[in-house]
Amino acid sequence: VIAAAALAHLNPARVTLLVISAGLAGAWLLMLWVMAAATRQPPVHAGPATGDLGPEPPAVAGMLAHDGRVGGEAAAATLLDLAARHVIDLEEVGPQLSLCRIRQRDGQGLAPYERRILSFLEALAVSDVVPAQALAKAGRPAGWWRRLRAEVVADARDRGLSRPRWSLFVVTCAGLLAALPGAAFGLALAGSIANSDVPDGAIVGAVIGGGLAYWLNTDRLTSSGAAAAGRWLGVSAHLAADKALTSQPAAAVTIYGRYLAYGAAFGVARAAVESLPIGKQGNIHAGWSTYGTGLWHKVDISYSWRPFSGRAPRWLLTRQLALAAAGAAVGWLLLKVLPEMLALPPGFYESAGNQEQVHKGHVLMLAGGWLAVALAVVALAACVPAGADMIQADAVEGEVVRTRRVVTRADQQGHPVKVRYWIAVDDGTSHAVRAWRVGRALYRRVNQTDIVRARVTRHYHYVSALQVLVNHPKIDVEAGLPPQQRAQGSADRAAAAITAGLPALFGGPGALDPAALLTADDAAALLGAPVGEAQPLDPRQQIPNASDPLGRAARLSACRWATADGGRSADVLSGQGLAASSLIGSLLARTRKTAGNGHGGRLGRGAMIAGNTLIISRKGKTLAVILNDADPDAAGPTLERLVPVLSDRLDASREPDQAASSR
Amino acid sequence: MLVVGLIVAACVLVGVALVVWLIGSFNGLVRKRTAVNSAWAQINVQLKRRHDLIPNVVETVKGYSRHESSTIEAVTAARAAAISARTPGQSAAAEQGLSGAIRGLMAVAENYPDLKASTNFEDLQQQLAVTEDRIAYARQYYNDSVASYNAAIATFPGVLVAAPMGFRASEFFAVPDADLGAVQVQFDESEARR
Repeated sequence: VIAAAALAHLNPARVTLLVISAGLAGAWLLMLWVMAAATRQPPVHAGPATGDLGPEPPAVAGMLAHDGRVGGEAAAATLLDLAARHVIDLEEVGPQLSLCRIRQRDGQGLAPYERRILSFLEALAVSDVVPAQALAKAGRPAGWWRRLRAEVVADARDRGLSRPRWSLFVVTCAGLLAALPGAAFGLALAGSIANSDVPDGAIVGAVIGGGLAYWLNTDRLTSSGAAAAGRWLGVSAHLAADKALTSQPAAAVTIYGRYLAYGAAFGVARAAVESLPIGKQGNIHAGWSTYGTGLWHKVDISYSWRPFSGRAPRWLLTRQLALAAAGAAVGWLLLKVLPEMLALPPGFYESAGNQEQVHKGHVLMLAGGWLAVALAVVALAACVPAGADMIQADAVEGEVVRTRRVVTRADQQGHPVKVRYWIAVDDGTSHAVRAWRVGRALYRRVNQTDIVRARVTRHYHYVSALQVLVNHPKIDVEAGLPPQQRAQGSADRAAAAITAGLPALFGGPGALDPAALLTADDAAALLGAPVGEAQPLDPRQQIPNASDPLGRAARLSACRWATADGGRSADVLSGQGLAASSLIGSLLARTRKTAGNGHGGRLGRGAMIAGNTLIISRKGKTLAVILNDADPDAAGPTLERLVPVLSDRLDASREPDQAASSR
Repeated sequence: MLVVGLIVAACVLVGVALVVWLIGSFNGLVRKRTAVNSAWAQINVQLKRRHDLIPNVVETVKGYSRHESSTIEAVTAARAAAISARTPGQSAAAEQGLSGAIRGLMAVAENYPDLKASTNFEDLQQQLAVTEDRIAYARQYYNDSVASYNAAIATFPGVLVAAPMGFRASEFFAVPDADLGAVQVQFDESEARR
């Protein structure tokens, strides 16, 4: 429409503007291409085959080995890794039955995606146990895989192995630059700078350009990520050489340990991955339930495609009787009445032509007659079970283990024309059930895991009545996760992000261990006497404004070192990210007000001293050391001596979760 | 001549089909029987684990309660009977007796606060509960395998192959209805969940 409007009002000036607009758009695209080429992923060179596992967990290792892509085996690999680390147990009970048993529910020291897997198990576990194959009972929860992949990528970023191609600033600038060709195009349309099409064009250009830049802004491996990827490719080659690993079940993790988890992540341990259908749709011919026995058990489900399955017996009986009557009538007509009516005159058969004609007619009549009789018999045969179904029906009570919808015929646009619906109910008495074919209304009334009571006929499995006894809530595989990891719709997620303090934007990747940054020896040197164990502190009690939204976003840690006699103490606060830096930095302002700026100021290497407080901020990590009840003038030189060692330690520091995961 | 040839060809075809069917049926029954044996082996693994745990439990209880010899002897005798059982039926009966004896032992432990507080005893209780749980699952799996195998050899056409080729019905690992469930030894909720 816009182009048509432009063409209708073409003049030389507008053509010039259009050409300029096209040129600017081309230049912008060229700039984007140059930016993409300049930020290409460094080449990955596969290392020598080795069995030495690196510090990255299997999901991250699999991502590195698959060129930065988090594959579908990440969930199973993480589950196997949890088993190898004894967070859960994988026990083989039979050749085709393994149990996942949860040993640690607290999720301490687990990465977010590991907690996600643990929460999945918790949602399904009965008495802390869920069979491996029953993991498919939760199906493929919406958005679950996307969030899992994002968490794995975030871990890789935190480890410095992966990063977005461009920063948010660059993407924003690219979007703003895209406004130029948009504005030129708008001006070409409007013919006047005062026309509203100009800003509209600029806005459209910025949105399109920003969207394109955002879409292209995928993660790429850093140089250390490429080096790690090469190392992991060597491990992958080593594991692939073990042919037995391919066919090992998940329970073999008790023998192979973490090697099986890494084998799963690299796509080598295929049997183990297939035996853990986490986040996947299960086999439609199998269901799992605990109904009746209290134990998880598998139920084999069959679906009847026989004619009249699920039909009401009264309707079926009426229809079949009518068919039988019609067949009998046609048969009687063709076999009895017509031959009598066709009584032919004497001498008719002597004529050769007539004889042949009558012979063919008789054969057709006889065949049609007997066919009609056969149809009548078949129809009558179906009346017998239909009649029995009218008399008796069984009451069945159990859990809905499967609901299924199959489109058997669709129109040319793909819209369903004919659909079949089934529900399968496990009453706890048999390991094989036949699904009942039902109508759409009944199908929509029940969900999987509902407990229902139904009246079902014996032969055609017609469900004459169905009552939902317990309307089971949908299995919430994210129930065990903190709010910011859960999906409850975009509005709820935004609210959760705000209440959690916008961690994604400002919170930073995680807290640092303050006792590892300022060790007991450092504290003893600082306080001039031996110190005891580090005492944990609530960092938010130490910092003003820690309860505002930004403060809640900050991920802080704190501890206190005190001399053995309790006479002197030093507090240590640490954190990562913008919010932590801002909050810890606010301590300086407080110190100035209360104790004056006795020493130091800026010391280089990101360090500042104000009064009895030292703050070092490097590469997004911030550390504060506060000498309690100390003379600010005397504290300054003592604190200053710590700056080099603390700066180095801060550079090399990692968050506790990562350290635990690496171990 | 042509008719004779056709008859011979038909007989050969029928014969080949019969042999193929026989081989398929035989292999199918062998697979099912192997599954039953494998499932029984899994039960045995778990039962052995339970049998191995019991002496430790007994020793721990002895250390705290020296006047419960009859209960302890009952457990020891029940364990010996369970170990000597050979068939699924005998095992089921013996294990039922052993479960009863263990329940008695646990009831005794209730009277000794020091024993209950013992970390070692708590750990043994926990291991015993987990083992019972595994036995329950292994038993269910075994019984499902037996049901499938028994149905295959008792129904047509498997019945035509089973008896001449020596396939016999397997015994279920039967437990009384009262004992059905995830865990037979019921401990304190917090302990069982740990």
